[in-house]
Amino acid sequence: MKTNHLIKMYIEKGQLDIKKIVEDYSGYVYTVVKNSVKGNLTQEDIEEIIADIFFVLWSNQEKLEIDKPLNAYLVGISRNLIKEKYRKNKITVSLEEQEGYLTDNRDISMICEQNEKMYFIEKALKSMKKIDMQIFKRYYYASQKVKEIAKELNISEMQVKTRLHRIRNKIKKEMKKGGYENGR
Amino acid sequence: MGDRLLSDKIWDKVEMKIAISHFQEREKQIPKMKIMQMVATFVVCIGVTVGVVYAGYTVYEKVWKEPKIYHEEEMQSHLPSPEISEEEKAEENLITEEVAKQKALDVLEKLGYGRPEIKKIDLNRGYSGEKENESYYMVKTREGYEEGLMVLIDSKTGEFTYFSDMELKYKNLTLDEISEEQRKQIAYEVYDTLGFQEKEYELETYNQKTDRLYGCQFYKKYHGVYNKFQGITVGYMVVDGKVLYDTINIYHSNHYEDNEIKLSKEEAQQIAIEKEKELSDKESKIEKVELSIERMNSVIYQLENNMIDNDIYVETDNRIRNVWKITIDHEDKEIFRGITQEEQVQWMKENSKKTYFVDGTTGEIIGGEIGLRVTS
Repeated sequence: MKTNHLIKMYIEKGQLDIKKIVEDYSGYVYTVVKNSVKGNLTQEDIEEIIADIFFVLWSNQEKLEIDKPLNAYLVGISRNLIKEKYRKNKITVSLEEQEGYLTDNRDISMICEQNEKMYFIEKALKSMKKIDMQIFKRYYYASQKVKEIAKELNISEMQVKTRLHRIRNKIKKEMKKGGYENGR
Repeated sequence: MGDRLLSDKIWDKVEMKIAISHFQEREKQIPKMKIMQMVATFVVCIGVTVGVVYAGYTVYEKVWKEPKIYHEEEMQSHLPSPEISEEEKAEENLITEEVAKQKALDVLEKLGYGRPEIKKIDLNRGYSGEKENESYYMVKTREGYEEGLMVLIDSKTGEFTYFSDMELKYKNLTLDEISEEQRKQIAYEVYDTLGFQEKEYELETYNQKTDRLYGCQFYKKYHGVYNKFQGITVGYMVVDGKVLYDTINIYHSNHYEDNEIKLSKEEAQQIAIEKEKELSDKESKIEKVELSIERMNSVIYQLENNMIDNDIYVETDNRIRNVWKITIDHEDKEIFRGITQEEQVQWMKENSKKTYFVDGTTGEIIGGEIGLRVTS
């Protein structure tokens, strides 16, 4: 389990190699979070927090000091996200000091609103078929073109476009239910 | 939970969150980009009814027919089933799986991969463009969807149509810097490797480069015009002096008609200007006129008939023709200040740059483009 690498070791062509970081640090972050929460959160909540930790790291990659150790940021972010989770779940517990962490400067309320919006989107996506999830990830994560997606999933371009259109509509409906104007 | 299992599970969630983040960013751009996005939708496919008989001494049969219109909910029933039935296989006289596999191995051997074990062969419904709804064999060296080498073989003709090294993009490879001359040489070497006849296709570009790949394109040429529907495109890397193929696309169009060009440039121009006057009162200026080979589409039909709607699909005949491609723009454009879809359509009619495909034989407007091409 790697725990003391500097951030710059995970910079590839100017971008943070988040997938590699997840591979190398999932175990470590899991241990940190599990020890911090001490049974106050479910396994599902813990895994969700871990995913959020990496997501926050990825979202703020341009702010990271690349000569600093990665684990310090991860611990700092985990502290803030656990705190926020407790607040939402109305759990009152005092967190023990994490040795050697750096304070995450990201505005916690921004994380919360972002996570709330994400919640509605994830909810919309969870009820979708596997093929729709695949199309969504390929289009929005891997930035594949419609033509490439169609070829690799063995469906027509028109089907890809139809499905993307439906995915967008479904997400907008869920966001509206959540009180986000015009589905945004 | 084992480390690998945990990290895979976590990665799945993180990947989705990143995808959602990108989705949200793109959705924010929609109000400003709406015109461009609508342009992207239209550039895909559409057409116009202008029943013009060539004003000469010969009457030609019209090529343009009223397109079929489907609403979104009708689309799913219109699309054929993804599975190909045994009856269909027999009716269409498709090649067997074993034949497809051998042809794929021949391709891999030519490309320098030897004859590896094939782990997956599927017969699938058509994938894109004009081959939509036709079938092909997908032959892979690994089972996972982004793993191994993939070759597509046309199930009727046995022709090789596509190759991809699905894993190349995930390898951290550093491209060699190569000169323009070397790129040209590699392009010709690739062409020879693929076994095409000398001068069957002409090298159109060899200098394409992204941060990850070099690219070259070959097309067949007719009347001095490249036919982009009959071509070969290659994306490759050069690493430690060795050429590694990322993708190879081969377009074998059966729908190009090579129709006789009877219309003069001036006649075509006049037809386009008259059509533009129907859509816009603004003074037009001709930006470009050129001979081209284009697929029939219904952009201007949809614009003319106010059918600008993401829930409508407009289907024309699949025909590729020799056309005069005329681009018209306006000097005194207005900035778009509208909100409704109707206002956007009206703005587009009056202000947007349009390209008309005037059929080289009949003089009908068989398609077009609006504004700048934006790929989706």
